[in-house]
Amino acid sequence: MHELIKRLSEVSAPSGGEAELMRILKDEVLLIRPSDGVSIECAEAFDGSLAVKMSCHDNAPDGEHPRKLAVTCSVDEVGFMVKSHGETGMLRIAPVGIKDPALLVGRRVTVNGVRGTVGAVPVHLSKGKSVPDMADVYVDVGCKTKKEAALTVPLGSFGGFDTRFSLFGAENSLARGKALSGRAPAAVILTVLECLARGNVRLPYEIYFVFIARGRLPICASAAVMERLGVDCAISVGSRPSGDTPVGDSHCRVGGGVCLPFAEEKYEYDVLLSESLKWAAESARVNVQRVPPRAGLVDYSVLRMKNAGLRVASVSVPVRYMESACEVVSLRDTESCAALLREALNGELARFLGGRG
Amino acid sequence: MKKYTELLRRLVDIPTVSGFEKTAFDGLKALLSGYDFDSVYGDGVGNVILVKRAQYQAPAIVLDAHLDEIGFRVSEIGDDGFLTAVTVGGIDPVILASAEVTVWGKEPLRGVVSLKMPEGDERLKKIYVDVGYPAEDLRDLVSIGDMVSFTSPVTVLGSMEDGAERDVRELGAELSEDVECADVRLMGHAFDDKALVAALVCAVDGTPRESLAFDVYVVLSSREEVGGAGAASALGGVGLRTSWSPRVCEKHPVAALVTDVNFATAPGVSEDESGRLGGGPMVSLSAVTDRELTDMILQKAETLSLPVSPVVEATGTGTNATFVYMLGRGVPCAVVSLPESGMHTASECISLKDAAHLIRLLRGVICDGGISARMEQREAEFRCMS
Repeated sequence: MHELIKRLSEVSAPSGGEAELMRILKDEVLLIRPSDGVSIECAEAFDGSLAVKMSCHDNAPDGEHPRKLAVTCSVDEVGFMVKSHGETGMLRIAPVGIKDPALLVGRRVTVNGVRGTVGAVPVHLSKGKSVPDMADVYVDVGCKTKKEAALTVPLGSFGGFDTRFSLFGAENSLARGKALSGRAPAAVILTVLECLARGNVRLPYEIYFVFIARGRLPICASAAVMERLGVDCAISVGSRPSGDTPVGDSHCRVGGGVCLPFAEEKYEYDVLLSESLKWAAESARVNVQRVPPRAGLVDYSVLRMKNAGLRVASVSVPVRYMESACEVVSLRDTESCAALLREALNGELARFLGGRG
Repeated sequence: MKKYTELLRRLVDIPTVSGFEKTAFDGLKALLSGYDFDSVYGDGVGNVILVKRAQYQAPAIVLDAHLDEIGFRVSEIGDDGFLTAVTVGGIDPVILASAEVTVWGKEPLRGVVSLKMPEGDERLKKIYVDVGYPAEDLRDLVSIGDMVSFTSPVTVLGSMEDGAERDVRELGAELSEDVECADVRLMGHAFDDKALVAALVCAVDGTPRESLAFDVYVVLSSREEVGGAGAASALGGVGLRTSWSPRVCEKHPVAALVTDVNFATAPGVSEDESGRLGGGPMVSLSAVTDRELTDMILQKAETLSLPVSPVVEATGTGTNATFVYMLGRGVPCAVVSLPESGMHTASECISLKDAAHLIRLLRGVICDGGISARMEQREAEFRCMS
């Protein structure tokens, strides 16, 4: 799986600029040769998300509609957009999801496929101001003039961190790279999709695997996609910031297993769906970390209002240094997440969703 | 632009402070019924929807501009004859001292805002409105909750000729419909967003049905200034059959253009966050909007040789575009705006030239068969799966 995570991590896909990543994900899906009786369809949603529908022909023998389950993840990453071109060829930028400009300064970035770096006033000249404002930050892509910059990197171009993926730690069990908080869950979903499609499965429901674009923006794009697909329940595969560093709180730790939250700050996940995931974890013999609520994505609270109340549960992979230039995940946690999901979709949820919609 | 300036003037004269859009509906319907639309109707939360169908089978497009304006509501009638008011929408208290307003009670009453400007970290305490009546008479004329709006008619910004201001009605008479007009600046209140309401109505009204590549739904949404509830509900209605509104089209819109005002370049407003007055309409490049649709609009502007100013608004446009995704079944959207100075004051300014270019751009988009076909194709590809 780490080769897949590497391929996905090294693609630039800030929120709103995921087109290339979606193309790569679609290519990965199209490489899957499903077994007899299983069909896979791919379609791009109105907002750039990629939906993959997997049907087993055993679904609805009596002509009734089978239940629909969505397995989703947000694949986008933090980044920026080019706001203007300076007279000397430097670029002024507007953040997309980056909350602290200090995370950008001195980092290598790519903008519209061009390599560059982020600059600010050097520390020697900063007059005691430790944290720059976004207005103080600029991107240098090697252009000398405004005209050259405008031709090389047009206004509105998306950019993001340029970090190479690598394994590290004892037995190379940890991975570091950019955007792992979105790409590790995407790799989990692709792995599970391939396993189910190639296995001789007969599931009593249709599954939509949805790679959500712009999931980090407060526009709830996935809510409208869920409504259009008419799903009955959804499992969100995501990531959770770990606290296992000297400066973090210790709600969960990288390498400690898959996170199964029962609630976020302002809403609760579906109890039965969450319990099914817990039983699936026991069946698959994977380590689980039960984590307390935190301020969650807006998507989830809106999702519950769709389709007369969408049932939602969540599984997460713990991540260190989330939304920075270099995130860290445990390969074992990622593989455990895939095993849990495989067991859930093929076992517990099949029993849970076996009735007709 | 004669029709445009006349419509803008009449729209500004109908007060539509957020929350009061429904009470203005009869006046609005009477005003808008004089334009070439198949139907004009309102919904339960104050949105006004105008429909014009193409002559041939076509997908639906939504053009959105919000109808409401910032203002106040009466919260108390004092024994001293002064009304106390609360703001509706984002109003900087700095602009309120001695502001001219109208209180819409049993009859419209002119008034002046009276307040003590806060100093240092002090917060603004209360806003009073002086209408010049004793309390006992006032209680017969005004009720708690009545609407209060700014008083600032549409005027031409510029030099006085022969000691008299140029009347906008005279200006309207000078301008013909299709000629490139000079960079005349208009000033008034509620240009946010009535300048765009007038532009949408004029753009669609002047387009023959046989030229339309879309069935056009012009949604004049309510309550944008207080959170955008109107747009959310309207977009849930357009494209879905609902039992209470059988006139709503069954077709799901394939695209939405959200229009609003945007910041004009001025002292204190940087060039990379604004557009120049007279420099043409602004098109937002954002992570929130649909890039393909936006690119097609920019391409259209280039084809028509219209000046436009792309502006980057990375994660938020401050418009109803947010609701296009958040609720309803989701529609790809783009944001096109008019540069405006003095936003959210009683003297907002726009350029008539920018409005003329915007109208031409909107007409170009709603008549473009290529844009219509591509958006319909995208919708069809996803519809097959769901």
